[in-house]
Amino acid sequence: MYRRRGGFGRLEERALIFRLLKGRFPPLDTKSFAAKCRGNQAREASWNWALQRHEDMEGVREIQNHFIEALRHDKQLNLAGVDAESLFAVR
Amino acid sequence: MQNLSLLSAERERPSRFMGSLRTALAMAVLRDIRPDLVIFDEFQKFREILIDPPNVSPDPVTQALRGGIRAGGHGVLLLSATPYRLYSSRQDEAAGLSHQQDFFQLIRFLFGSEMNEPKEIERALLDFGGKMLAKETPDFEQLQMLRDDIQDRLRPVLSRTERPNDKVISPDEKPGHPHSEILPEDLRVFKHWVGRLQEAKNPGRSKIDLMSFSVPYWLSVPLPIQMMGSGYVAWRRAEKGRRRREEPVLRRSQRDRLEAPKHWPHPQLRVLNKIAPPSRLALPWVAPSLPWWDLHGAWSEPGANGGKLLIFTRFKAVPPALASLLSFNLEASFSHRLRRNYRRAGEAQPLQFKEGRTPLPALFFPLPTLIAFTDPRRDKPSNLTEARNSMRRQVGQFLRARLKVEVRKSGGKRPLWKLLPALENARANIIPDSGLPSWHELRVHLRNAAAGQAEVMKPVLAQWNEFAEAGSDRSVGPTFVWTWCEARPCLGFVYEESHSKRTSTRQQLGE
Repeated sequence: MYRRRGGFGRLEERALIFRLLKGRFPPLDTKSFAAKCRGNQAREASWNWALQRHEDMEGVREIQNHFIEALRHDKQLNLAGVDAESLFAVR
Repeated sequence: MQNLSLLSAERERPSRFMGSLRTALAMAVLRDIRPDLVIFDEFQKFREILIDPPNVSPDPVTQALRGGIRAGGHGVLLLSATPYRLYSSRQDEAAGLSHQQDFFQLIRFLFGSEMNEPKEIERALLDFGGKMLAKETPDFEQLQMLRDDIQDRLRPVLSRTERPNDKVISPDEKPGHPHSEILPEDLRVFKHWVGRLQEAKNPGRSKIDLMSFSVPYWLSVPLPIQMMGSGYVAWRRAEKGRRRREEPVLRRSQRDRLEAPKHWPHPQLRVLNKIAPPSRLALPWVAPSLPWWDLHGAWSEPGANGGKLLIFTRFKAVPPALASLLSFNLEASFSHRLRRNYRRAGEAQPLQFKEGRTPLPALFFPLPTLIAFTDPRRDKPSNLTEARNSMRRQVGQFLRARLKVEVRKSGGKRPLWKLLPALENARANIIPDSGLPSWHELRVHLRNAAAGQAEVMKPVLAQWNEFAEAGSDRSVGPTFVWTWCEARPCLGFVYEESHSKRTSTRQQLGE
């Protein structure tokens, strides 16, 4: 499922999401939230590899801001406010 | 137990949460990188991104991706070989889902706010279709004018490029059906194939008449007794126990020595070998349809840009049979280079990156220094030779003036993989404010690019690094520039016979 063809794969995408959220909201840096982002398909090793790729990101703050902004306007999630608690509560 | 089943149910449910996060990420990235151009490859798969169903407004990502429609937004480039459905059934058309409607919707999307032009095009296309389908013979001049008018109107939004067919068909020649003839070998195959079916094992109560299959199988499958396999009742029952004198077969000893028969005992296979000869199949990629330079060697031969071949057949055994025999024929044509050894043929992978192939990544190494400080089009060259001369001058000037490297006309020649790191390292040290990545950063990029082969890449980069640190203090002759220019367009030399006077890429790379 996660086989990439040279480009950015779904696993890296999920890892980037986790990286952006845990960076902004440290309480989300938990095993259970990581598992939620990781999904059921990826193995531990490839997940760790994908996470490692996003460890040092230039301009992460900018992307984080845009990301949070986009989440705030997401009609599906319909969050009252974007914070660790409301994100963790989403099923 | 109940908890467990609930947990598994939740796992199986598609995650709406993750979907929202991914959408948000896409929006964030679009806002962050602010692209000038968004390219949709195979855009027919993303139809919902382009055209909204009735009474449905697009979601934010879709709107953002379509940014090109609004002034100041990014451009959108749609690529597809099948931009609309080529066929629609009567039921589809009755339900308003005709392929014409598909195409018209696409045109309306492409023209955006311009409303009149799509209507004019639709009218012209319907008019064209009506004239083509009319009972009476159409006025071809009028049709041609109508076609040209449609093409002119579509051109601002739609560029149609296809591989030109370089084969000129004379008026007397019947196109599309190559000539083939039956040789005595073909008949010998048939005779023994029938013989084997006649001596088939007693099928017991089975009423299948094996003989009725003999002709269709023989017509379609080359060497049927060797190529059909156990998926066929006829093959399973056919007598296979003894060798038959004079039966044309491909023997193991022939295979091991890479000896292809002079004439394959199958008329269609022989014709296919002419359409796709080994010289064409040996090319690592097809020739460009719109080349930037004059093509040479095998790429300049007719058929080199022929693209794909479609083969229609009634039997499943045909594709593997043709694939294996064409492939074997290709290997056999290079038998002298493979020392007549079948095993070597499977191992020869000149562009496969593996341990000990230190020079190979140099072929695919994007060189920031040359990209930033030279321009192959600077002197407006009209051919490849002029482009090379211009590049040689530019690199010489850059080495002398900016890197203070002594450039001599003659001298030792270092292989490409030793020169590139030295050049990049020297540039990073001498011009640190160029805004280009340092040699260390380049190594990280290369290691990341190797992804699954990072372990193999590590020792290669260590070796490259030795030469990067050794610097480019040795004299660099003009061969450096020449080598760089030659390497990419002339990759074919890796495969070709080096009957050319020029050295092969492999030699240039110092392998």
